[in-house]
Amino acid sequence: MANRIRALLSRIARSYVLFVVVGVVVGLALAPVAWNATSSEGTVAVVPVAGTIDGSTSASVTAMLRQARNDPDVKAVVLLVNSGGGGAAASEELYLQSKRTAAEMPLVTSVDAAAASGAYYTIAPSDRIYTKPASTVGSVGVLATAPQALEPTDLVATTGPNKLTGGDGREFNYLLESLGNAFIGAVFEQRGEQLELTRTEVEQARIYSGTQAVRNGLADSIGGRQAAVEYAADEAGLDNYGVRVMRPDGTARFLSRSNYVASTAPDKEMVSARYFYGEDPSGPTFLMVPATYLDTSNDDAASPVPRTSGTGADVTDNRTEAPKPEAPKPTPTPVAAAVSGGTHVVA
Amino acid sequence: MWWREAGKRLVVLVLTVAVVVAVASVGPTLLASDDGGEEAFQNPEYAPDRVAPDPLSATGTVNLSGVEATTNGTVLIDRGHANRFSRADIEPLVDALVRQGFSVEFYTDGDLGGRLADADVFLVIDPGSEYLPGDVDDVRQFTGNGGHLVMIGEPDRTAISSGLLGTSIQTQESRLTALASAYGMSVDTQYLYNQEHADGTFKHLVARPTGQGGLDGVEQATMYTAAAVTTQRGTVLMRSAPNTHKSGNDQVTGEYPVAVRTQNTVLLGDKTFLRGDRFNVADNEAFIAYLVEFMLQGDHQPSETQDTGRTSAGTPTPTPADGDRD
Repeated sequence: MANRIRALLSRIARSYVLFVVVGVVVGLALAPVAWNATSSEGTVAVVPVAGTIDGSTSASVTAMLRQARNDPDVKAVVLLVNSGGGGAAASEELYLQSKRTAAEMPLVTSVDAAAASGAYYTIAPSDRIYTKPASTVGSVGVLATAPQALEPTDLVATTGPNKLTGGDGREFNYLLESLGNAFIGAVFEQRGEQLELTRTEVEQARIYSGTQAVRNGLADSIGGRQAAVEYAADEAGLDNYGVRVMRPDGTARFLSRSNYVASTAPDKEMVSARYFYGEDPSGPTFLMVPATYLDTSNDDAASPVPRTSGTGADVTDNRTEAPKPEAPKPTPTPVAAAVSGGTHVVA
Repeated sequence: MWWREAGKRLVVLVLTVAVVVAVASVGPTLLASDDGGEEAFQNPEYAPDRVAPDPLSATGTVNLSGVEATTNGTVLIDRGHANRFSRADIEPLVDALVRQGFSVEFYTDGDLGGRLADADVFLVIDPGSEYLPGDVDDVRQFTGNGGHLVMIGEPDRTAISSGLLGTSIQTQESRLTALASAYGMSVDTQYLYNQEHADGTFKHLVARPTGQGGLDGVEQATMYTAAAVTTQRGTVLMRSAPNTHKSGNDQVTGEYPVAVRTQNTVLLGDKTFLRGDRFNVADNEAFIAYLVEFMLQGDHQPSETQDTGRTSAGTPTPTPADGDRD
């Protein structure tokens, strides 16, 4: 019996069939890699811009865009945006990064729940902007806490009269206006040919739905992320391409509950307006967010109960449940200080 | 000669190393042409000249050099109708009046007619309560006898105050309807804004003279969250710059009156331009000089008998000096 087995093994060992079979198996295992290596002409990188644009978001997205630009295999970038904006300087940084990327390769944006204010600033350089009907875009403008009129005293001495506040109210308005002009100028620089809105209409800082935005030129087409990827690949001349979804570092922070719910970010959390202003707003904070995002009702963001969106007069008492005794004292954020009804703030 | 052969090989080795190092050092510079776009990246949309607006000048003083000083005039400032203004709001105006020899008094309560009897000018700033019919009649009699009336309104405003119980919000209205309507005038409730012509921000209007009313020396003035004002038969002194909007009416633009007058009455849609840190922006100081001159022209001669020809408040009626309107 042992001799017969040994003879069979010997015959197999001398046969070419075994090696052919093994070769086919190994070859088939490696075939997909070889297939892709020869068939894919390049990669479309999908870069998420999720949550409030702060320094962390800006650094993360900047790193992803730089990585995409430096990777010879990446031929186009799709920004997948779900953000209501954030800090002014951080938003400007992302605008510059997008613009730089668009100068090197096709840059296409897919707006998820929102690309408002600073997030719209970010996507303005895109070659094409896709929105969904329920997306919100626009709110092109800047809001800030204005400095209070303070006078150097014996308790706080300064070397100059404006050291405490940075300047008087008039000067602050001009300062803020220059930020707004830069924002609006950039939007028109990037999308002037598409926009059906006048400069003053854009300056009014309305929010538009996805379909409205397509009509007025703030966006280009209705479509989801797949449409954006396909368009980006087409613009890059890719018939066969791979898609690489890049992952941001850190946690995506949201001021808007609707954006939070829509987000697919693996790590996400709700934050309140105090994230920007702190407990006691003092110096000017320049923001590129819709004012309604700064609702103090997000303060107990850990609660899963959605909060109604305050529109001014009810801003400090707009919870869907009774205020708790230990509820924090309302912070005078801009949305608490700006009220509806064609009125304005005097105190 | 083995050492000669070895030397040749050593030279070749050194030259090879040199070439490799040279290529390595020059290579990045040659390849940098691909990245030149990053270095040359331009942002013309951020050109400072395009982005940073030039502030309107804020120089000058309320110059009344061409006006003869008087020593016997009195301006009575209303404090009896929950008026909202501070000393800082009127200081430049008061300073100019005092320099011209006027005395300044305040009415807080009591008999308005009696207080007006000793005044030449009545200044009403942003009252928080309406004038009662009797007070309206007193003022009308005052203007009918040569007194001058200056009314300053504001659009509806919202005051937010924080306290121990949280934040409270109150709407404030300039309750000038009864008094102004007695002169065929009114103050709008919406604020005006202009995104093209403004002092820093859209709610800070630029206003321009209409060429009527003798408003010389003013090319443009500024008003800070102003209301439109109207007059039935008076003169529009200044209008907002073109393409001004009313709040809540973003699609309609116009040039809205912000300062109107008759022979003995002036109505303005903003008080803030009088403030110590606004009075000299653009040509505000010249406009304030015009107002002071209007006040100085007030010469109240109280009549011996009461005027009984009163009309109900809210119905625009001719003033006693209607025939002298511009």
